[in-house]
Amino acid sequence: MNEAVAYREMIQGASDAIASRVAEVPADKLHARPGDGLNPVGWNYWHALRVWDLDLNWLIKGQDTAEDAWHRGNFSEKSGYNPDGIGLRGTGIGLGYSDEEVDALNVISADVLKEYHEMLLAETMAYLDGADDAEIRREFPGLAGRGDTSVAVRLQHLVTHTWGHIGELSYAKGMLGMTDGTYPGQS
Amino acid sequence: MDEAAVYLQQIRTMSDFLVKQIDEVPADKFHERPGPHLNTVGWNVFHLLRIWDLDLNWIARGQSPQEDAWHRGGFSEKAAYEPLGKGGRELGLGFGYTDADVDELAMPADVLKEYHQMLLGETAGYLESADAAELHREIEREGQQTETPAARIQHTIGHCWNHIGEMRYAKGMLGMSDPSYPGR
Repeated sequence: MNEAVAYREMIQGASDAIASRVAEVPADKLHARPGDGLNPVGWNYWHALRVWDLDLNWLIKGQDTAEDAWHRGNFSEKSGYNPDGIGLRGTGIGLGYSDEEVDALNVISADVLKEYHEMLLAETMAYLDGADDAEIRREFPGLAGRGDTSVAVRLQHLVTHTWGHIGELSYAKGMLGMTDGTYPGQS
Repeated sequence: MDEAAVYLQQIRTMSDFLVKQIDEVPADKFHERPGPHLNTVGWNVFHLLRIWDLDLNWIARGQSPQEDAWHRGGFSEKAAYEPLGKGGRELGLGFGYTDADVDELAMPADVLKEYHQMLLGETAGYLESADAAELHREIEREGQQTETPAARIQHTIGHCWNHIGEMRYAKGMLGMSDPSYPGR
């Protein structure tokens, strides 16, 4: 098994998990705050997908931010939300958002997020289909001031970052009444 | 890089991050509830390590629950806590716990960090000697689908990060937030 196959399995696993956890959330709870200053399920899903886009398209494929899946897929128009210029360094990926900026994501429907997710998954699998071990080990400059990175490092980050936000949105779901067997007294 | 090395690299990266996340939590916050019926940072650490033990020792290596790292390492004595008999199917993994069961997990972070180091060492030892045939060995489990060690290692990585995410949400509620929190 080459490395690309291992990453393919792990990305598919994280992708399936986040899709199923979000699918359990009713539309009126997707952007509900579990408490003051806390991120909703929808923010976590959107942020996980934006960072997936960053890892795959901005970094691994070296695309301009205006060429990423969000923009090529016309998701600003489909969702009614344009992330350009928002948050940390204006990157529009969910980091460094104010409370008002988190609430501005309310216009994005679950169906639009699902379509964005499916586009990212398809692009990732197509990329991995053509990636040999030399490509997976390829090094390139990382984000500003962070030194060199590699395709393998970004793929690992894609997997782990997605799982981390699966955890965060699961905690948020629990606070909104959608618990699972890990919640005290909910077995 | 072979498949086992890919998994070990990810386990080490996750482990470094986990330790950093634990170290940021003061002792008096480690088992504090962020709200009624919400799991603590400490519960999340305990649970992810117990599932790691299950994946590696119960399933991949075929050990009994009494032979896992928790028990071989004497952690019931070190933590003054015996997990077997608690929770769902009395497996002591953190699933199906009552609020009282969660509150009973008062062990110090250092004991859990020692348990983590033991699991990390055992995982590294296993992966350093595991070839492709071992990683894809089929494991029959009564009443459940066939597993492979590779699938369980992948589960360990995903499950650990899932609960690192949960503990970060809990940490944020306890005042330890990061740039993903609104207004921080």
